[in-house]
Amino acid sequence: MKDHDTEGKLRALIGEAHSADRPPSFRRTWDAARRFRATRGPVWALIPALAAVGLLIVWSARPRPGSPPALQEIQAVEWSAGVIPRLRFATLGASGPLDFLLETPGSELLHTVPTFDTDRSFP
Amino acid sequence: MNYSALEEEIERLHPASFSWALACCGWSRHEAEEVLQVAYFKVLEGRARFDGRSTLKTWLFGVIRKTAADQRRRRLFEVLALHRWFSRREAPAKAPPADEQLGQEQRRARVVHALAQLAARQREVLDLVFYQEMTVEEAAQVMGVTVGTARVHYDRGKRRLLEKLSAEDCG
Repeated sequence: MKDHDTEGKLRALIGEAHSADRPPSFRRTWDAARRFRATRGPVWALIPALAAVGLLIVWSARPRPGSPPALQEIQAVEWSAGVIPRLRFATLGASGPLDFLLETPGSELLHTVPTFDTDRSFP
Repeated sequence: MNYSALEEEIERLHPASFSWALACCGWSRHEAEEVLQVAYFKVLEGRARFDGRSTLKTWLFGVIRKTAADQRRRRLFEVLALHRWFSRREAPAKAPPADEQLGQEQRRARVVHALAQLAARQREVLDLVFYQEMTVEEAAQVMGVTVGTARVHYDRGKRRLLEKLSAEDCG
């Protein structure tokens, strides 16, 4: 009996919580859902378009024959002939506008080892 | 069930569906309308399909419940992204209630507040049983839980709701 009373009380209380519900018109809600459906294209229709864009990106970024390599090597100092430090700068793919700054006078002496011919002339 | 029969049935259930959506959205009218619209959209698009394994009401309420949970998650992300700050709506101005209405409104607000303090599943099972006149078995189907679990939430929910309301009466 007590349980029955409790349930009756809860029923009344929850009914009171819903006393001001006032649902919106069904037609308005249903039509809004239908309009939303009409304006939304099928998602799967986008898949070929996205695949085409992806292929285009991959194709445009592919390495082309004859183009300079990106960064082949960086070796700061290489000792050769046991005496002369030979500087070998990185072979950079792109040539920048300030690359001439790296060309110091007499740099060929750093790149080459002097050799003497049999007639003892300096190359 | 063909399309027009389904639409007719959903129209018949519309007031109950809205009340259920309100309960799922913590009595926020704006959110409940949005949830109901998205739930109907799912039905129209065929993403939610009635297979006749339960009653149409149980199935539709399940769709509404799931939609409300999805919307709640989405809204959380929106809040985190400060989206809500930009799309804030002006609340419509309300006429001041008469004294009698005020008393009724206060009582209603007190119950809504007490319900909001319950765990979501306790609130849902109580609403389905006491307001939507469902059995605990049907409520379990809507909530996607076992009957045993629904029964536990039902018993705990009843006890906690009465405790909350009596605590508010005393306080």
